[in-house]
Order: sequence, then structure tokens, then C-alpha cells
Amino acid sequence: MVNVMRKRLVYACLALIMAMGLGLEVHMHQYLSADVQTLIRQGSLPPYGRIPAPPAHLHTKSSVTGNGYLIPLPKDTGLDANWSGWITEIPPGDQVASVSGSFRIPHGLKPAVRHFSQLALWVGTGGSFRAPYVLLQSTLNLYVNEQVAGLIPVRANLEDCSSNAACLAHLRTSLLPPVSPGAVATIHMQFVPVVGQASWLGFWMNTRLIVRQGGHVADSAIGRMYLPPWAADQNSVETIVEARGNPVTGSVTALPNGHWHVSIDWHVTLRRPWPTTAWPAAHLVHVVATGWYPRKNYITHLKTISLHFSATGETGRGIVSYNDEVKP
Amino acid sequence: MRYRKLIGIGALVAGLLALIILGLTDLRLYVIVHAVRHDVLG
Repeated sequence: MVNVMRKRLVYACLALIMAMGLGLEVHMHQYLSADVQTLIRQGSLPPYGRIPAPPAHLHTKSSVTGNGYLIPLPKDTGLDANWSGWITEIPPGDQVASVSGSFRIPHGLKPAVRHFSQLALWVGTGGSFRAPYVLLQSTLNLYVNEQVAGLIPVRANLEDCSSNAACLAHLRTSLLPPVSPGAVATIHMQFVPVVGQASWLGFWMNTRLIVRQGGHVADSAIGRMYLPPWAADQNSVETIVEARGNPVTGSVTALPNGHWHVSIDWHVTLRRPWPTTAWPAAHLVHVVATGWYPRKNYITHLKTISLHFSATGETGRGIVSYNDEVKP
Repeated sequence: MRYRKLIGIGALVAGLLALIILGLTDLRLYVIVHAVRHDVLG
């Protein structure tokens, strides 16, 4: 009898705890939903279920499972708040998908000289943005097609982060003015943090290096910088860097004042667009580094440094040195 | 008696699942709200 009573008591406690948990969750959900609604009203997030139809000129394939909507973040000054876009051709079930589409920009803008940054890509399923969101971490390159005035084709590689609760849709891109071939190469180094992996696996940052020459993408590489969790409180930290395409080496040093010292040497191999193009002694390099380390660091930098090349034959090798102190 | 036990376990599992799903959804909502409010995307 005592055993039966004890069992019942345990069950009752379990049921009570679960009911309390559910109640708390429902309360939190209402609270957060109200927050999201406020953000939508402020224009910081796209509205639920009120996505405009894709432009008629876009051929939407039957394999579309998601729709992309480009929104400018509030701080962005280079974009008209009214513009929007659609991204099509996301193959179903793909973890990493290539999507393409185009979006219309307001008439009168000169896209070739615009610098676009701080775009967020939110991708929802079923044509709406109803929760739960499917957030895709993405990098987005904008290519200007001057022959089609007012339209910018969009190409993006999307990595599905829907299984990662802490993953943010983060996008940083730059559109740089075209330069004469061989004269200046602009390197856009991009750090996209994978926030969700920072808590217990360490600090991962995906890096993307885009080399533009003559207004075209001459080379690009994706690397990954890793900071192990046990190194977060040490004074000197050596990063382990993996790279696809081009090797990346570097180091991150946590300073006693809470700042981080980031030093990255990125060895770059450039293919010459044309055999007759001369290699310049130095290239202008724009480095944009953005990182978010939960509760600790927020990195944002725009830096211009020079890249020195030694070229032999069809390829040239260079080292990008990024050496800066990053404030938390 | 056997079914009562089954129903109890089912309810327990369903409740736990609901808790987990709601929790993950809220965590994601929290991240979005936090990101936009604190401007960590830019």
C-alpha cells in the first residue's frame, strides 16, 4: 500500500512539473511572439504570411520548397527599405543549396557604385514566415547585370541551420565598383560565425574570401577558423584553420582587458584572368570581419590593407595579413 | 489496467515532446529577438 502511494506521489509530481514546464513555455511563447510582432511593426522583420507574390518574370520551378525574402537591416543606409526579392530553386531536402533569383531595385539607383551590406536573408517554408522559422545561414554575392537595368541577379549558397536553434541568418556582402582588369584586386574576407557551435564545441567561424579583379570574382575560398573552448580564457590562443581551396593560418589572442587580438595570414592563389595581364606589386585589400561570440565578443571591422604578390606563371601567391585588436 | 499504464506513458512522452518542441521554438524566437534588438547582425 505504501509502495502504491509512493508511486502515485511520484507520478503526481512528474505531472505537476510537466504542467508547470508547459505553462512556462506557453507564457514564454506568448511573450516572445509579442516581441516578434513588435519587431514586425517596426519593420525590422518581415511580416508573417504577407509575402508579396514573386515577380512574374521569375521562373519559379516546381522544386521550390522555400522562398527567400531579402530585407535590409535597420542600420543599412545603402538600401531602399521597400525593396524585396525572391529566391527560387531550393532543391528539397538539400542541406546546402544554391539558389538564384533576382530582385528589383528602385529605379534610378546605380548598383555598380553601391555598397550593399548588412542584409539578412530569412527563408520561410510554404510561402510564409510563420514560426518556426527556417533560418538559413548564407553568403550572398551580388552580381550586377548592367544589361538588365534595375535587376540584380542573386546567387547564394545556403546552409541549412534549421536544426541549430542558435543559428542566425547572417549575411554580409559587398558590391564593389568595377575596376579595370589587372589594376586592382579587391579581397573581401568574410567571417560568418556559426553561433550555435560556440557554447560547448568551441568558437567556429566560417570564413569566405572573395577576390575580385576587374569587377569579376577571380577567386574565392571558404575556410573555417576554430577556437577551442578551453582556450577562451587563456592569454594566447592558436587557431586551427581549415580551408577549402586556399590555406589559411592565423591566431587569436585573448587579451587581459577582454579584447581579442586577431592575426590571420591568408595565403591566396590568384589565377590570372588573361595571360597578358601584368601582376601588380600590391593589391588593395578590404577586410570585413564580423564575428559573434555569445556573451563575450562582437566583432565588426572594416579594414583596408595591402596584399603583396609574387607571381610566377599563371598564378600568383599572396599573403593577406590581418592583424587587429578586436573589442568585445 | 494495462491500457491505463500505456496511456500514462503516452501522455508523459507527448508532454515531454511538446515541452521540447516549444522550448526549441522559443529559443529560436529568443535568438531572433535578441539579434535584432541588440543589433548583433550588423
